[in-house]
Amino acid sequence: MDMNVGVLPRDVLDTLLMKLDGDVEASSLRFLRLPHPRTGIPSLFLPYKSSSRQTTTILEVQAIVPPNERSWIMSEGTIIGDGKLLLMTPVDPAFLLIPILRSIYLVDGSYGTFRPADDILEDAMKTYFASLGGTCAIKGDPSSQLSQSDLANLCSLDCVHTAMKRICEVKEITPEIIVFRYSPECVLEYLRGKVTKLWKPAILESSRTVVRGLAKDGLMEEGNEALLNSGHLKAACDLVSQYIPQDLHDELQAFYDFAALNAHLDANQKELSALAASKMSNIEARESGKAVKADGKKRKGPTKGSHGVEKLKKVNTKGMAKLSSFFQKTA
Amino acid sequence: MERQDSQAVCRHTDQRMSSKSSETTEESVPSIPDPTCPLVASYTYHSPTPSTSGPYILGVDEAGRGPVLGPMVYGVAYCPAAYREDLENLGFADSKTLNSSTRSSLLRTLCSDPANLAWSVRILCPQAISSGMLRKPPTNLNRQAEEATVLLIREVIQSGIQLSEVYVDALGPIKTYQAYLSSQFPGINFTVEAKADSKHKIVGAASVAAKVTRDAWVEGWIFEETHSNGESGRAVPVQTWGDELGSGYPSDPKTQAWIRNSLDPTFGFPSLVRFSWTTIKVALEKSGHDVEWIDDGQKSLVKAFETSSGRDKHRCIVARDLGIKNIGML
Repeated sequence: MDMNVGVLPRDVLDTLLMKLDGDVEASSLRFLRLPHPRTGIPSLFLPYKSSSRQTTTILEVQAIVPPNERSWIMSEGTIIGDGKLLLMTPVDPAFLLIPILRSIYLVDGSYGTFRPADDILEDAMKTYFASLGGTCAIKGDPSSQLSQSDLANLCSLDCVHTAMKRICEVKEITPEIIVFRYSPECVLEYLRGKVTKLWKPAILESSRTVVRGLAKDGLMEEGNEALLNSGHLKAACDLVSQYIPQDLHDELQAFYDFAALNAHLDANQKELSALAASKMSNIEARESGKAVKADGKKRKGPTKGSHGVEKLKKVNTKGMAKLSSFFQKTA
Repeated sequence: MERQDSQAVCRHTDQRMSSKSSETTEESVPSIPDPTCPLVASYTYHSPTPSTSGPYILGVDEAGRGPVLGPMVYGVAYCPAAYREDLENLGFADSKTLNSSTRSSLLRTLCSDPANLAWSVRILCPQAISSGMLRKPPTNLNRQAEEATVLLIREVIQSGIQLSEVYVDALGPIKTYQAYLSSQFPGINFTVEAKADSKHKIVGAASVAAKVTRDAWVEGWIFEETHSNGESGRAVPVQTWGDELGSGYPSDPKTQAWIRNSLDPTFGFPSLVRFSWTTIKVALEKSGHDVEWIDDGQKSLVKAFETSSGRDKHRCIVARDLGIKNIGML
């Protein structure tokens, strides 16, 4: 059996232990292979019900796989060749739901009618499944096959139903009958809310990648406070982009005004390429100068061939066929 | 007075002897403080300082210079110059010409007259030898041998012994070495000679001390890799190598077989082995896993510029930097 090394959330570990102890009541854990909201390619998720709270949480199964290969050396002396580290991080069910509900809207651009949650989900699932079709599958990777049952499983989760309220227009006809309609405006507003939450230096600058990016663009320098603010905003958008389709990310970015920031970045780029060009022309000038010198006077005199070459020159070739004769038509 | 280097301190409190070490405990060797502990660091042993007044003569010889396994031992033996006549009749000779039981009895002889006869050994553990030789710049084996010799002589002098003549078995160019030693210890007459162990009884005595110590270490070798060190609950790996070491010389078929069968492709050899020996380097190169330095070449740089596809497409920059990927199966 393949061994994997991973970090499990405590709740998941507790559930597993309860199962091992033979607790039948403990909820079972089953991985779902769901289209990832960013790529549409089926990837692993793990819904679980924590013992303390009665709601379901969905975990995204991820792996830390640096470009350089590594292995795990276990204390028992065994070695696991695959050095990846599994991580399971909670993901907002709304993210998983957006591409599904959005598929109906994308067909003809109409908002559709208000309908109960189950109706709308069932319909959206079919449309989404059809729209992805075979396009999401990666050749030679059976794990990228779409599974309708896993998708249905997702749509039956309580947390997904709760998430509908966040990205749909909601009408309460009676306390029992609540109807929904997918709303691109609600989605964008919801996503903007996420961006706003992340748009705090304390949060963003806890990532070295983000800080490095801002510094590289010259935004950390004094006098660039306004630009830095804009840079933070863009970084926050980029973080959210991990969980939404590319076109939705473009839409989200279009909402904000990055004109000043983009102008600054363009100017940076031009400066860099001008610098590179002048360096290049310097090098070229130097090299062409060398070439002239080489033409004028050879640095080295006529070189003597190696010992072997000199010896071969003296070989008596009388009576030997010319090399070219081997390439002529035989009589 | 018994001086003993405490480098070989062992936290082992369990006094039970393993079956392997009990063979050697029948003939317990004074220069091995605790045969149930693995040898993990070089150390020096001095026999009690003799009480007869000097001047003294001293002989230096070595054991285990060539083998690929186990420690190298430097030994000195010394006695008052006036005792030289008595020494002639004690039977000391080049340790290579004697069998193991004769050597053991000669070591007992060496301990039998503590007023006149004394000896010291410096045990260089295999890992110290290899790390010296593999260091950059390296401390080659001759240099390490010189250092051991100088250290032994210096410590003997420090214990209050006045030396007049020192006989040393040759090591590299004779003249240079003799001049070097004379410069280190002005006032002492050094004689550096090839085959000094057969020419001078006091060097023969030193060779016996060194040889018996080395043999005892190798025969009763405790592998530190599989040694619990007295800590209960410490995970100790199972021994994956044999016990049949042979003589330790690279030409010995038994030693060759042991080297062949004991190599772990990832972890190499236990610390009994001198990694700086060509035999070992070749074995590691041939049968061990290849070492690939991840910063060699530009593989990771090239990867960084590749456009990602599949599950990695459009990853946000933080995820890309941290190497976080989605996965499709476990």
